[in-house]
Amino acid sequence: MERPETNNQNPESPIGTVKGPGETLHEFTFIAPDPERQLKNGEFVYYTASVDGGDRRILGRITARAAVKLFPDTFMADPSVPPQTVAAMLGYESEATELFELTVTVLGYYDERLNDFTNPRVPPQGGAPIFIAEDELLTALLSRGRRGELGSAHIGDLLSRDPGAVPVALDVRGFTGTHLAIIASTGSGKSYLAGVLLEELMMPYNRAAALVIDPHGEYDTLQQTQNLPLFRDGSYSPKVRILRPDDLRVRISSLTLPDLRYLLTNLSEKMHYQLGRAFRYAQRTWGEDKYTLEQLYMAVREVGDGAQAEEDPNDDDPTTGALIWRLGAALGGSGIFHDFENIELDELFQPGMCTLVQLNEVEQRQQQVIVATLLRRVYQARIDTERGKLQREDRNHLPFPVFCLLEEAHNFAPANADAVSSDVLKTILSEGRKFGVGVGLISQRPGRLDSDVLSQCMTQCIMRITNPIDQNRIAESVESVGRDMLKELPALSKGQVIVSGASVNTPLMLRVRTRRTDHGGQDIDAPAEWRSWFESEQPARAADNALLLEKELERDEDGMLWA
Amino acid sequence: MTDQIGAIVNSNSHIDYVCQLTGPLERERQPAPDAYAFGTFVAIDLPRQPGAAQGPPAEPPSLIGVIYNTLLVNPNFTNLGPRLTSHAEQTVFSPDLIDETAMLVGILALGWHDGARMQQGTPRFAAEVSAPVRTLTAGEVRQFHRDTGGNLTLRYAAALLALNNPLVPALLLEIIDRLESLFPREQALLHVMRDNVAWKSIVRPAG
Repeated sequence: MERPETNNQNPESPIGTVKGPGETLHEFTFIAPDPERQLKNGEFVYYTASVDGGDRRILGRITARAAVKLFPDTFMADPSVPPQTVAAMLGYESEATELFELTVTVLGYYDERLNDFTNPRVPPQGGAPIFIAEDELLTALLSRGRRGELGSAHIGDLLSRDPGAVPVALDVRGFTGTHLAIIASTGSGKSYLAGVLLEELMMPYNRAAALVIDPHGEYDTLQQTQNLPLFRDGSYSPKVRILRPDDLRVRISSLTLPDLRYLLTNLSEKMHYQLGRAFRYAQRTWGEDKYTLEQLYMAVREVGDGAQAEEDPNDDDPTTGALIWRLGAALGGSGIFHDFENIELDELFQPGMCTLVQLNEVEQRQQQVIVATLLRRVYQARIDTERGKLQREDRNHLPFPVFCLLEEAHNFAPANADAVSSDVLKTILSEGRKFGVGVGLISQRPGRLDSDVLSQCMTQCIMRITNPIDQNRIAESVESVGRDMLKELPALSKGQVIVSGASVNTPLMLRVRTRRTDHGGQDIDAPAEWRSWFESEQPARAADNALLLEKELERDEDGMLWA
Repeated sequence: MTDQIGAIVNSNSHIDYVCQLTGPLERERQPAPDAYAFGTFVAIDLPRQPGAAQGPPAEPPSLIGVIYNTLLVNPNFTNLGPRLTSHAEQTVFSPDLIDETAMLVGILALGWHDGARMQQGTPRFAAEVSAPVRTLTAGEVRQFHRDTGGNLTLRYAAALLALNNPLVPALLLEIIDRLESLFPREQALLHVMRDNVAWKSIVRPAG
């Protein structure tokens, strides 16, 4: 791809001059006139210092910008008279009307051996020249991945540079191993970014085994990847499988005791006790993962107070009756919980396949149980496969790492509330790395997301957040993003994202790239739909009514009019 | 070209001159009061430079200044003793006393005219004692306030304000008011400057 010309070039000419050390040890300040407005917040600059006998370019990021020379306010009294004109009248005709003091946080030089930035702790000399980092240098240093290469996910380009000038590719190993969080308020483009990430995962150079928990059914458009030439390579073409709520099956015997307790609301202490006994009875009698709902009812009756013998089950016991009633209401009437059918893991996961589990119209508690069951099964399958307990012919054999993306993650791991999916999520987030289970959490309310869960996601994509509670939660849980970057959160526009953590070399402000497939998460255009109703629906109704009026109306013996 | 209003008699600095207005015994026509009013632009003739002899300039070089102060000199002040002559007879009996009564005006040099064009700024050359002083015409004032690009210029304002003289703000306001009538198209720009000076000299000290 031809790179667009940018004005951020000319590495030979310095852009500013070092003033002195900053407030903290890893900061320094420099002075620059910056007539071309290149030195934006977040821009990368470097100075040269001698490290280990050789000259090194020490890269830093601009974190603050303050004016040190400005026109007096009174020169701006008349909006039709530019202050430059007033100054020129008084004899100041220079174009250098502004001067800025910029604070730079030192990142260091890139150490190829460590694959990371190393701060040499050599502060720049006062008066030393500061250069703006060239696009090529940044392209090489900032991304962990390389666009189009194995294990890379090109999600956008550097915001401070021209579009396309510095492409940034995340390291897929980083976020599939140590998890990912996409945090953004509604309408700032989080689903769009997730779509971009999933596209990258489905690219021929990644061919990931991905699963998306999609409570709103907005990722359907990813199916287009199957037909786009860009996603094909030889015989490879990605598969996108959509599981709609009607296709979802969770075998009742795969539910754990906490799952059952969570699904059955308002259980008394006695019911809890009896359910636990019944659960163990069922497992003992018919085998783990092998009983039906009817057998569970039977187990409840068997262990109930009124039961005298196996052939004399007693529904008269109020606890037994209430438990059976609750089990029936929660599991019996649901199309999802089934006696025998279960979605097999090999149907859900396959390299080069993205499975979209759509949970729209599914009640929230059921959603949580479905997610908990799924994640638990995947995690267990990966553990068993990795430890050699499962062989290729076994049912849950899962011989490749998987990545699960959860939309509305705050529903599955809420802060200050119990959800059955929280525990398994926490387990996977803390230990999933070892067994190749990566999780991506997407949430618009980090304040409602469990802080442990959020802090375990080592790659963070943070988009516009205006709510102060949410901002605080991010500041608490996301260590890798500096305070200076968090200040930018309310000011980010749609499609702009701060990426930090394990998948990039340093926190970056990016512009998300355009999706190859259509975006499915768009809002309904209410005024347009109202208008279209008047144009299509209303004439149709009027025609129907006119037809009715043409028919002769008859009055029956009760005085009612009939057409 | 206007009539001479007086001659330089003293200076306080490189840019601060004292001009004695033409007295009744020197010329028949006395300068009118508005010729030496506060804020009037004047030209002080400079001696011709030897190097400039080959090509005689159109006009002699001069300093361009503005009247910023007036002083009355009266040797008879506080001399309250009895006199043998009345004031009307003094011209006949003691003309030297009349000659010693003078009106002095302070002039700040704001620029110069090198014979070809006018420029604002601190002049390189100084005026000599007895150098004639005359007022500038409206056209000359306009010319003095246009730079080479034809834009209105007020380069001397900063130097004036730096003098820290209590008369300077009033002088600047007076100059700007006059320029507003001479430069009707630049009124908005002058207004910004006037408001700026007025705020600093009128509103802020009173607040």
